[in-house]
Amino acid sequence: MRAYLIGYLITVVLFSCNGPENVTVSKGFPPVYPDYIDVTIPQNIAPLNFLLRNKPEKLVVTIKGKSDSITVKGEQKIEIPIDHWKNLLASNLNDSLLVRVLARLNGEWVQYKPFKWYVKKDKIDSYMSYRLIEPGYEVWNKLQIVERNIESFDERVLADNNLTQGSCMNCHIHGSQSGKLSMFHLRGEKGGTILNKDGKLRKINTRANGMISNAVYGDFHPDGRYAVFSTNIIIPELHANRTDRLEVYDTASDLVVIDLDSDKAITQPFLSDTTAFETFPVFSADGKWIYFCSAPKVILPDSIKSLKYNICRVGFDAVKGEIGTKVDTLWNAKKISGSVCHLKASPDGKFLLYTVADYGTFPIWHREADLQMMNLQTGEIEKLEKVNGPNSDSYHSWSSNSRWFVFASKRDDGIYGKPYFCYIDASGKAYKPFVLPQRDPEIYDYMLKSFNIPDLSDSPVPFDAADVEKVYMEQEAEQVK
Amino acid sequence: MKYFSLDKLLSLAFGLVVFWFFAFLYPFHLNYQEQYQMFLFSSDYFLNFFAKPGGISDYIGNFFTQFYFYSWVGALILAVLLVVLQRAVWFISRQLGAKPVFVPITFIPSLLYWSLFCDENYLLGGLIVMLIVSGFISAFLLIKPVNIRMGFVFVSIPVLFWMAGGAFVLLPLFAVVFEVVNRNLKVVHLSIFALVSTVFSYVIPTLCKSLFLQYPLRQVWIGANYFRFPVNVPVSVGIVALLLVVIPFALYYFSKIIKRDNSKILLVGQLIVLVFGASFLITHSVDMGKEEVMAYDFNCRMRKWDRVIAMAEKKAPTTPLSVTCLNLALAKEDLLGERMFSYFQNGIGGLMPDFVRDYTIPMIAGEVYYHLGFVNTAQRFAFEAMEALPDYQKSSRAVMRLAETNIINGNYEVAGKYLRLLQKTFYYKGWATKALATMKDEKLIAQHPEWGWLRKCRTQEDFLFSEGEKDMMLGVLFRQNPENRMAFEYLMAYTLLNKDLKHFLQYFPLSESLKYRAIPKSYQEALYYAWTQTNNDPTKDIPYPISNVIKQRFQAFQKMPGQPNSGSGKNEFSDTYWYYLYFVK
Repeated sequence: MRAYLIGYLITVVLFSCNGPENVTVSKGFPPVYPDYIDVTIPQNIAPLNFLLRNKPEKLVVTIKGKSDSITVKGEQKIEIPIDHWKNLLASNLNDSLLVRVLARLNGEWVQYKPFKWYVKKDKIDSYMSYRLIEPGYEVWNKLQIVERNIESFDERVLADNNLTQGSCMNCHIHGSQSGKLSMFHLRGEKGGTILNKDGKLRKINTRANGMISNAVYGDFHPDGRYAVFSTNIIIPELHANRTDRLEVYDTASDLVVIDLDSDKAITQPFLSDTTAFETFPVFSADGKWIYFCSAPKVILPDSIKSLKYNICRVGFDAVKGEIGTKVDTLWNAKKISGSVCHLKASPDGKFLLYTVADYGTFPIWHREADLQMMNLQTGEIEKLEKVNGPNSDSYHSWSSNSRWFVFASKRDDGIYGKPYFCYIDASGKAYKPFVLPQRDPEIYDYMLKSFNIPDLSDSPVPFDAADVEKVYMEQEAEQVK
Repeated sequence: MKYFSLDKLLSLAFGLVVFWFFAFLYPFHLNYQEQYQMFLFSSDYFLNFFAKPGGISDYIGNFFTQFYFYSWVGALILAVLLVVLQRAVWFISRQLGAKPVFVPITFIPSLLYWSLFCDENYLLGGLIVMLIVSGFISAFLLIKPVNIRMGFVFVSIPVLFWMAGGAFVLLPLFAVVFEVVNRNLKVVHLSIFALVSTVFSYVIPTLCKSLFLQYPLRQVWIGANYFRFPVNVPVSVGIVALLLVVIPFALYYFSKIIKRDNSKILLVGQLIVLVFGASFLITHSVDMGKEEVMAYDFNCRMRKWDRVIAMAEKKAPTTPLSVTCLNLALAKEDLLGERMFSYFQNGIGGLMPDFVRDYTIPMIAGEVYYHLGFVNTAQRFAFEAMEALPDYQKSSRAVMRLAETNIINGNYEVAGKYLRLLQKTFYYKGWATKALATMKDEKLIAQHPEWGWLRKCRTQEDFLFSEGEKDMMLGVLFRQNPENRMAFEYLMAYTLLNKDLKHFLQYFPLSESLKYRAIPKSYQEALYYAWTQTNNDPTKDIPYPISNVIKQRFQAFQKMPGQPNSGSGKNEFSDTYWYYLYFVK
């Protein structure tokens, strides 16, 4: 009540000369889109521009910090001046900003209940790459891998299939959250895995003799010399039921480590046997373990609902370049009921973030798919209830300081994935996430693309789409042996 | 007759013929074009086009193409634009000094473009390119001081490159030839002009590509989308473009050598050649088979089931896709069981086509799945068809279907996204606004004649879609909603077309819930045939009410000489299931 009164008084003062009269005070939050109500944000984020869903004729937004404030006016949506925004965040670290929204609807002014933005001193990595793709079934059209500066609205295309004969491209990931080391797969006739090491691009044919496919899901070893991959025979099928869309499963999947210095494949027979599926491998923060998902083989697609993946780990000796022989199960799908995918170890080695669906290995079309986080020291599982939305939440990536992660969420409409950022404090507590800010917040309404596999990095990658075109068209692929 | 009025009369006549052609002979090609783009009245949409060379031409082309929704409006637009192109060529020729007697030759570029538009993959943006380039050439000719004229060319090169793509080279080409022909410049100046124009023409696209354009160099040079498949630009487009330069200069020379006395004979001769040439060209460019499929599809899309059946009555469909549309229309009119074999049937492919990575077949096949109640499959087909569009456009028809299927599935957020997009179009705005309002009230959706019904038809039981087990899926659909007559008739049709009488007999008793007044004709034929093949006791009568006419016809069919392989009796019995069973491979 006090807040309403203060809000009302401020409004009256603000508009006492030539401002609105007869302001109605609403008890509810304004219908802002994206949902930025009471979210926790890093100090280096771009302005959280938003719009009001009830289409006001005029909009006045005041963002107030400890000692300063910004007032922005607009029609239906606001664009916060970036310089003022940066200053405001910088002077309110580990504090909150109060956001007051005053809107004119059908000629009448309404003062909404104010909400807060909690500003964290912990920065998020400044860059994020993602693939822009229409969330289709089997056919793809225009694909781009894009790098966005999270501190501003600058976007750069890293790869464009328009320049690579329309071939599919996927899974751009960074090594140790650095732009100096990254890779992605470029399919097609002249394709290969494109490896960026300090800006030098290499094209690698990752399919060695005896492997069931090219490399699919992967991760870099912390020292950058090795990368671990799954190889998968992937089958997409269409659900007839209204709640599900597409089921994608593997009819075979194995693991392999590739020594990127010598293009040599390293494996173990038990990681490529036919009685189990192994997928989504990642290295631990210290590089001594490979975490991966594993499921006993079932008859597919008939028993698809029995296909449940465990979290396992196996040792890795980077000096000898050898995979261990003993497999531990960290998360038992049978006992807990569910199926795990997309493992990501936090850079500080404390947590393992993953997605849990009811079954299967492709959570982006599983509405029930949620993120969970395992404390690797205690084995405790945090269900991240504040983080998860009503639709699929998956494809996450850590910031290098382990305080933030980004994930692709379909919470808005169930189809089009968008990158959401979430803060994790030192105790592992998660806060309400928020979507990647855009200069024009309305873009999410009209964009028919999904932000696929968002991946954070502390620096930009030193290549662009023209470099990738050159590598694709002119460079011979190195063959993994 | 004055030549002055003759050229206008000829232009008018040409325009009328083009209008008549597209409005009455070839209208469905225009409807087909319209559905594969979605022109949005939004700054984002414009900026997407504006951001690449030739994009403005594509934007204008798409702007006009949206009006093809009504084919007569599209025909009018095409007629006007083709006439404008002819008038532009005539204007340029006249500026060069062409005599009026040569006006028929100026129709050639428009005529060629008309023939190109008989192929559904040629896009209107290409014609806009020609018009823009003609406009710049015309403006060049109107500038008298030679220095300003040269300056105009240099300034126009980047502007024209951005508006029309690689076709900008026609302007410097024309300008150089013009200055050579007219000898307005000293050789040195002319050489410098030619050299600078050439260098400028080469440097600008190359520079754009290296600095900021993320397109292959070839595409940067081509610019606009002349053809739906951007990687293939047919030579014919290049020929038309070159004619814009060649024809005016050719007419300039012809006019110099022609004698006035011969002009009438020459004019008549040209007109005869033009008319016959045009007839030959257009006759060889049209594809009435495709026009027929497009007509069937358009009528299905518009839910004009009676028109589909009327089309089939007039001329039996022969292509798999038109048969697909006809079967759908028959089912919607509750006539599939009764009359399906009255028309050509090409097996189960003509009933429920398989998915193909293409933008045409899934769009048509998706209609069948949608009306049956396979809402997710219909959604997939619409999505994939749109994704398969080679020129990266969005399809208004597909987006509309995506909105519908999401409304039926109760996914209102994503349906709202599609509807808000459609609200930015010209033709679909009203529909989208109405759908948005309907979506807010579950009762209104339940009462909606189509969405409400399809909601009841959707399967609640989950299974993975299987192309090879459509009969099983139809069975599930019907079992779940025994009032879904269409699902039952498709199930029956599937078994009949598959010549699978065992399953036909197994499924037939399911028809009880539908309370047919009489067993549909093709079912009677199948039942009677099956009875005659399995019953060894002549005293026993068939346990189904089979009409005497069918019994008599079957007896006559059996008595036909050389049965079953002679092929005799085809005409008399071609409307029966027995004919299909024996003769259709």
